[in-house]
Amino acid sequence: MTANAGYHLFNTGDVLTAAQVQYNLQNQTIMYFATSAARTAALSGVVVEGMFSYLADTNSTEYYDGAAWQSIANPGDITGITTGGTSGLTGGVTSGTADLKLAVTTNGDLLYGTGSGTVARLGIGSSAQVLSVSGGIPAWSTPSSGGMTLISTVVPSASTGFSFSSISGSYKHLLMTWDGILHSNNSTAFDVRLNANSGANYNSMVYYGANTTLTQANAGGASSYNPTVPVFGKNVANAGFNNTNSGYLWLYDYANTSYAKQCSGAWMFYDSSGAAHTQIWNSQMTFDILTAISSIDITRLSGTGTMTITTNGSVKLWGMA
Amino acid sequence: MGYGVMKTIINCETGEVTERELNADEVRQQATDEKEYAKAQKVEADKLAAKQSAQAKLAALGLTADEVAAIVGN
Repeated sequence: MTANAGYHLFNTGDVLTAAQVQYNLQNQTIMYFATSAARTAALSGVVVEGMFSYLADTNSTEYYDGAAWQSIANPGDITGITTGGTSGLTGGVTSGTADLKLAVTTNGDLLYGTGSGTVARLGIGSSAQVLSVSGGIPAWSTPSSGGMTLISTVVPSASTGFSFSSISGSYKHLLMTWDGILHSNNSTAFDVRLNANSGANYNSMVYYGANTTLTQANAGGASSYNPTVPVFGKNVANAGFNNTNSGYLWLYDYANTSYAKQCSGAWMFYDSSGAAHTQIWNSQMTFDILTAISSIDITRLSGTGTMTITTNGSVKLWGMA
Repeated sequence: MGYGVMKTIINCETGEVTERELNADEVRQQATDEKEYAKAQKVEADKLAAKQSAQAKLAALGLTADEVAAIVGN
């Protein structure tokens, strides 16, 4: 069979030969056929490498490689997508359309690596289990008792007071932490009460540092934690760095009903109206009530201002097992 | 009701947050708190004033600042 003639540069006055029409022009165009059968019939005995054809029934364009017609649709060189049994994927194919899926089967499944390029499936654990490590791989496990539980978080905004109520008695101790408390003016004070109790039941011993002075300020039979040095600050109206009210307060064995409750804590703030502005307090307090503590009130002792949390601050109540 | 001062209550069992005005008892307590707070602040201010007075008198006797601090603190 005569091969196609490739490119030929025609010049003015050239005489077009049958061979040129056949091997430079016709054989090197894209020929139109209704079907592949029609093409086979038409090109019987003359088909040569390098021919192109368009088949109307399949809307496909093909070329003849010297042995067979090959499609030029989607001519990419990927001939298959393999998803091995430990690849973490399913849906591999060697032809057609791949529909890849992660090798998970159940709601809550996780995949973790088991080696280079291989993964394994980990089914969801049971309620309250935590993800841990066992034998060098991830595993769901039931946490041992102990540790801290975040009970509640508050972010006060223009607040005149708030209360943590219905505190479960299931913990051993309570811890309240706060940071970024700012008052709206320099004539307001916020303190802590327990169980909304305003009787003369708060007996505290407080040491505080104000600038270079260390002072003791005891409050016996007070009606809140310490009206001399309110826990949530007094006159905290300077929003500058390190000037807001931050601190922590422990309430020990708060759910017992046999004896008084002991508390301790420390807090700091910048008193905008006082002579000694920066104040750091360290306190011990006995709450002379046998009832279990079930609520903590942050109450306004004085003034008409509000308290707001500055950026990233919060008030958190934790339970300690 | 109608006292205008609000209180936010966070139910730690349910997570529900409610807000209400102070009731009459709480408003009365606020007035008491104002007095107690003012009284406590005055006690503290008086203590500070007494300390500063003592420091001044000791200094007038010829004690150095370090000697005064050794007796009554800074």
